[in-house]
Amino acid sequence: MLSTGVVSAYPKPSPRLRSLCRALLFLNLAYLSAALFTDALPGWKMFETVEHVEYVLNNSRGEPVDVHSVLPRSANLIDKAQLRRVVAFICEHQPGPFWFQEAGQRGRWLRRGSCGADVQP
Amino acid sequence: MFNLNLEVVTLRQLRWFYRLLGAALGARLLTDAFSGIWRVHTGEFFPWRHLPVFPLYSTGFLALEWALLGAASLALLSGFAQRVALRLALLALAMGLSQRYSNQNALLFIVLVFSNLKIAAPHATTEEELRLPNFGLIRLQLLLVYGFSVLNKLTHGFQSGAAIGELSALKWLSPRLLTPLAWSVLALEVLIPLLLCSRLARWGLAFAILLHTGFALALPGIFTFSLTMWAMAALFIGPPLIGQPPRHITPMPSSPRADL
Repeated sequence: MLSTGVVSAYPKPSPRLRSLCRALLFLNLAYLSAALFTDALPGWKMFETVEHVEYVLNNSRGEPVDVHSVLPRSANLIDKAQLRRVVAFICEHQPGPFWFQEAGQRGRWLRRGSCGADVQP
Repeated sequence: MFNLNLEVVTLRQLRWFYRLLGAALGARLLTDAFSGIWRVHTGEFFPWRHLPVFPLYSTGFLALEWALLGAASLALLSGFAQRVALRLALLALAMGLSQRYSNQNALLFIVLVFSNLKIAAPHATTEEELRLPNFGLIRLQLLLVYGFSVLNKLTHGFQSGAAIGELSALKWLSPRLLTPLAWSVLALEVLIPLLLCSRLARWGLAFAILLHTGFALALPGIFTFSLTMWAMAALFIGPPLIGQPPRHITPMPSSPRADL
């Protein structure tokens, strides 16, 4: 039958695709709302907080060790928990022991085999 | 009459979206290659942002991931085999996310998932405009990124400027400038989506280029994020999304699409 009405120029998308898109949007919104109130969940939190990361890490000869020497150049160290994990990695993989002190904390010796525990304040 | 044309995509928008997406994939590959990710997989470097759920894979798999990324990037940039490119890019990004989580990898992955729901290859259609619900989803994704970024920043005290002052590339800034700079970032993150949805979309894109160039200069290694945001912003440049009803035509009597 001939149509005389005005017709949309666009091909119709399938109803299934549209329903899927709506479901994905709903899930997306629900997740982002949960992440807004849960610090541990990643969300769109681009550098909203950056901790003051100041430390001293020396090897057994008293020479300073830069944690960035074992990090990709694109890595941005923005919290103390990250710093401790990197220091523990250095302690496990390089000849030690190491002297580690964070700003406002007591210094401590780190020894291979117990680096993960020693690095905690 | 009020109309929200989130689903309508022009071929010009599609072409720019794919080019910028290809550039984002290329940037991701170059950033990884030159920042030392290879040495993470040889065990020399700390497994930065590695999620313990999946074990770190060997350099052979990393080479495969990079080959897929490179091929997908070149194909999207050149407009050749875009369907295959989008599938390969999705595979490469899924592999990459299993090895290192970052916001820019997550965003690129989400955009690729949405793009792959219904692939529109500009060379394979004679239509000037297409109706694609998944591209509506990509546009909404840009609004969600800015919207939740502002909410997260406001609820975590970003507006004090302290977070900006801690970034190593901005240590030289006078402390007096930090608070105004933080508020400027928040203002731009509110303004850009509003402009993109209006008849001033080009201004929205210009501000998005300004903001994300600033981010990329302040934070090494996040140029992929900037390019992905620009790719999404390119989908707003064209017919206004709000306020203009979709284009209508009167079909020829024999038109196969005269279905209403």
